[in-house]
Amino acid sequence: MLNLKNIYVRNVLVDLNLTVNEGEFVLVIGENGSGKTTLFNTISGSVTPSGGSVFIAGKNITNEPQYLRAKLVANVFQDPKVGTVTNMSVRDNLNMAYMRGKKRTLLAPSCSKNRDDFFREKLVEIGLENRLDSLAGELSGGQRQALSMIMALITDSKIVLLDEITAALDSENSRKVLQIIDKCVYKQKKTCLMITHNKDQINQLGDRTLILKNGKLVQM
Amino acid sequence: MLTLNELTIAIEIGIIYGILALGIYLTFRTINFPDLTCDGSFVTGAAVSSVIIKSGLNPMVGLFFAMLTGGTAGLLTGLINIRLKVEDLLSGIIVAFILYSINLRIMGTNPNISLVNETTIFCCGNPILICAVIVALILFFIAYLLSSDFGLGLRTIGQNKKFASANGVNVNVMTIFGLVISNALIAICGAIFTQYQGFCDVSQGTGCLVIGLASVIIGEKLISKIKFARDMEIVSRNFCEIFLALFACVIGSIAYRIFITIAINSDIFGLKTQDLNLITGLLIIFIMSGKQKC
Repeated sequence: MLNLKNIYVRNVLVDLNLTVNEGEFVLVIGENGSGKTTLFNTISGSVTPSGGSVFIAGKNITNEPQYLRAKLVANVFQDPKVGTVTNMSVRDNLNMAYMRGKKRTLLAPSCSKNRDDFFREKLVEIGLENRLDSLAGELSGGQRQALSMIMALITDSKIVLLDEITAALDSENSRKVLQIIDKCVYKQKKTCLMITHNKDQINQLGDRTLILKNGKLVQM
Repeated sequence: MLTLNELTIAIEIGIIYGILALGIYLTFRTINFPDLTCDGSFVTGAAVSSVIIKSGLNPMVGLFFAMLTGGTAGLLTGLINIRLKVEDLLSGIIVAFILYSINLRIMGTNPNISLVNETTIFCCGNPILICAVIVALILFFIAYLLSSDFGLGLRTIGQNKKFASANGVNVNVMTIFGLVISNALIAICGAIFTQYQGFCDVSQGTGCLVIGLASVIIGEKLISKIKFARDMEIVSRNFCEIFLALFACVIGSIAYRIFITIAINSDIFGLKTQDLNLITGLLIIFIMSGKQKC
């Protein structure tokens, strides 16, 4: 599903190779500054490598900008304030995710009753089905991160990237977010890469764990 | 005391400058781009419209070409910012600087053009009514645009570019689009205002940004509290909420003009016409010193 060949990003990633099969859940660990987030940014397209190639489902997408890759790759960021828009309603946040990879036209209104029903169905899983009109900024950190998770999974993206998604959360909210991962990612066999520093998560999750060291990946 | 005639003129100018406020709202609030092109594009619209009217063409043609040239100025600012990687503030300043010479060229090197005895859009009716119809059409168009999926993408880039890009929005194209629409509106405002006052001057764009910003801020303060019923149909509610936010800019513009007219005409503290910029600046400081929306 995902294939990185000889990826080189100056001062960070050196001749990095990685293959992730369809439905595989891969954990990525490593010291601070080892290049984990740069690796994710290279996959999502916000960083263009100076060398090497990125393939998703057999297609070379190395030179495709992030907005074009959005239909293939869904992101959940470490900070829920980055993964959601504070001053927009939960509905608008979900609408943005819903249109990922689709053509945004001037003709169609961004809201509809059908979409609302679909969103409520998804939000039941995180107990926010009655909060469509709330601003994302009115939600707690845990609720916002859970919303980010739902947004990442709302379209059928081929790859889901989870970047230290529980780092900013307390233990209770971390547990809730991990439940969503278990229910919506792990058990549904989504192709997923997850950065974590949490030893419990390393023991509980993932088909395999990779260590990023000196710009290269090492199998644990 | 303020006479009825002075109040009417203040409302008329307020409605016209409401279009400028809408343009400023699109850049400063919607796409979060501090665009200083407006001081130039306002005059560009006025100049193009004046030259077209002088050549005997229909004044509506003048508005159309003003819109096109204003949009082109916005496009230029966007391209300088995105393609040449010049900072947003500086790219607007550069284009406004360039436009001063271009505006003089358009005006045939005359610093002003008189439209006295020429046919303008105000020849055939009540100015308030004509302005209100034009502003209403623009309001509906922009509200419709912003309430679409495309408009949601446009609104998002001003809030969180990283999020927008990760969700498939081409931030560069959207930024340029926002600048084009904004400057097209500002140029239309310049064109209408020059037809209203009957002359065009190459320096009449000075201070447009501050006036537009003041209008937006006053409007937000006056109308931010209104909420629509939750049981209202969602498409209509979304449209109405966006329409109201835009309408607030027009209301803010009218309120600003009335306030300025009252301040200058009522001899409070001995204020005179030359104190206009002082009053405007103090008004903005006073409004902004209040609690800001998050």
